[in-house]
Amino acid sequence: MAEVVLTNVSKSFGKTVAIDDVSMTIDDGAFVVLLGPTGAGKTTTLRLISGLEKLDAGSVHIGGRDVGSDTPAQRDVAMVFQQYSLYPHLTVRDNLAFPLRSPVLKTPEDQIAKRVAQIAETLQIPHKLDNKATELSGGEMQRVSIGRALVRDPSIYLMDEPLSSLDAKLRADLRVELKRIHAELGSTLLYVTHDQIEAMTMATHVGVLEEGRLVQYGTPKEIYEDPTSVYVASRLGSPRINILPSAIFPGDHKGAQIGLRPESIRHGDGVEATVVRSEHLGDQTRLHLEVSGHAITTLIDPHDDYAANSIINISPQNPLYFDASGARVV
Amino acid sequence: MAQSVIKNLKKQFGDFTAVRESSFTIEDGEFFMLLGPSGCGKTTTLRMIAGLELPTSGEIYLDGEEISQRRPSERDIAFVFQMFALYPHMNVYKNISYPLVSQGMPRSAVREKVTEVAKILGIEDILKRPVGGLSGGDRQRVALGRAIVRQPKAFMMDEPLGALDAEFREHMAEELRALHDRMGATTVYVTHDQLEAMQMGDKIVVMNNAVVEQFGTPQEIYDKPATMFVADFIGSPSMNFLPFHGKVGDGATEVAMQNANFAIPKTREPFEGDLSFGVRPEHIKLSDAAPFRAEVLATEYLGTTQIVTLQTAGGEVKARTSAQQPAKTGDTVGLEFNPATVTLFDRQSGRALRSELNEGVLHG
Repeated sequence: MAEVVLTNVSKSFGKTVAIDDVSMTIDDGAFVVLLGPTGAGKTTTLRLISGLEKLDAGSVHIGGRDVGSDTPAQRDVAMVFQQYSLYPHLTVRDNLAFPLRSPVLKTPEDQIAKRVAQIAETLQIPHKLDNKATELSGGEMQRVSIGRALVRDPSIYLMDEPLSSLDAKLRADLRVELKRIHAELGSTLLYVTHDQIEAMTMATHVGVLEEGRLVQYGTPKEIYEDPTSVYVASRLGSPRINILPSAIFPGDHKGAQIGLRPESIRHGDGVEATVVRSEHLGDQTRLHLEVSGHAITTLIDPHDDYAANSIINISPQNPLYFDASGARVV
Repeated sequence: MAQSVIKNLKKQFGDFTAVRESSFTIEDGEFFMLLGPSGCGKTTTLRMIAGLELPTSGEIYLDGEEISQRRPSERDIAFVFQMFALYPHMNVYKNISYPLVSQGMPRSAVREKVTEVAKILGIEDILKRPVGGLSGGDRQRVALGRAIVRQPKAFMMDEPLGALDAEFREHMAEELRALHDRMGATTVYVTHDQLEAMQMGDKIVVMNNAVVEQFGTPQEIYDKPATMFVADFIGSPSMNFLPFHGKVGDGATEVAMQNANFAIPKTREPFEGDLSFGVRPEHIKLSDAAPFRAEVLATEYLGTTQIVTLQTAGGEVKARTSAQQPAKTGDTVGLEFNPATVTLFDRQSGRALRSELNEGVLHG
């Protein structure tokens, strides 16, 4: 495992700037999640590190070595893609062993057997080793494709939305599993997703991408509690943070826009808000409100209820302030 | 569409029973959810209500009148499918106006209706565009436009948001619900996504293996599940089940499990045998003093809250606590369960035992 350093990396496809001057250090042993919507440059960053795309500018160092002119194979990275790509005619065992049997690695068979057994154990699929890949469920197939990356001991694992095609329950299980595997192997991992839950729950560090630029890099807690812009604040938290003109609340404000997470709204005093609708999600109830034409979402006790068009009073609690352009004001 | 009563509805395709037993009532103007995993019979139930399938047996009453054998066109409903079925060679205006034009409505009236619908959906500025180049959201809005332009008594929607990505789905879900509130027509909506059902629905029918497992408001189904299937299917993370062998008397307020006593809502029936102790993640508290011990296996930070996975003598559980609550992998902690929220299940049948908590809710 190794440290990976990106310095002033840029990449364009024709006139489209995919990556714009990104610098980032992925510490040895870190679990870094790149978060952003479709088109933010997440996958391109991954492909630039793996060598599947060539840099326009800047440099990529893996373990202190400039890999700019190396082929993907020379870079010693292991990738996992969104769509599992297993060899359907091979057993799980042979699928897992495949990367180790590559002519470059020349691993002895007894070592391969040992490593495959070990990884199967980690992924909790030892009883499936002799099944054909096609006899597996979707979740098992994805575990095998992750396993095929894990059998190797590369400088870094690169994962591109590996859980996004799975159903919610399985995704939740594999989130915990991936985090455990990471802790167990001490590996360096760069993981790309647009799912904020994956970013918050698994990452040691989150990099938030906006139109090809890295706009914030920090621990999930830093990103959630101390976002540098409206854009970043809106990426984490469900329901999403309310961004409102500060002036709808009385008093002095540090910036033109106020950011209130649904749980940071005090009820009982302050401005009048009209109830639009309440949503009972079971563990929480979301109350949709309107104040001077602005929609606001807040949380109430699951068993409370407010009729549509009734009035409640609300005031800000621990607000975040932003200027008119969306930059944070502290 | 006034009140619809679905009674003992059954559908067989050859030897295969798609719906064994479906009974529930849809009130006028409700946003009504048919929820369940794939193959549970929810779509077949919807299609029978719409008249696209004829039931093998059972009745559908619309405002007291039995309509189960009537043709779809006699039921005045509009259908919205998962894949937006638009006419690719027509522009947005023509797609939306099609149902009216084919009814022979005069052109000026059509224009008026389409303009009104476009305004409701916020797509006035794209009426002249071909549908080919539209975003997923706009395509879905056009498909909705075509359904609402006829002003039917009811809408039937079969996973209309299934093809959209998560962030956008949530946005469209809000839009759909707001649209429903503006129009006031009954909506019957099929989904396998429990969050979508909870978020949008006034009432939910939970189906599994061709039968209705439970029918009620979202909060009722969440708090007072009738079966282990429902308890597991609704909520994320889902309810924790601690399996044990034990005994409760009628009127018991405690149950013995793993050599400890736990308070429970007063039981309304005696039971002895294989049980599951069901408790939701947010009703588990980490407390140093509590005698029921557990080891922290994992923590997942979610901003304001966190999910803590714990190993207990009775099995693995997940707790949802404040993110401020100290917990790290390897710690040993004590657990407290909020006694008022506990449900006991007969593990063989999956049925919830009757108690003070769920009385009046459970059928049978």
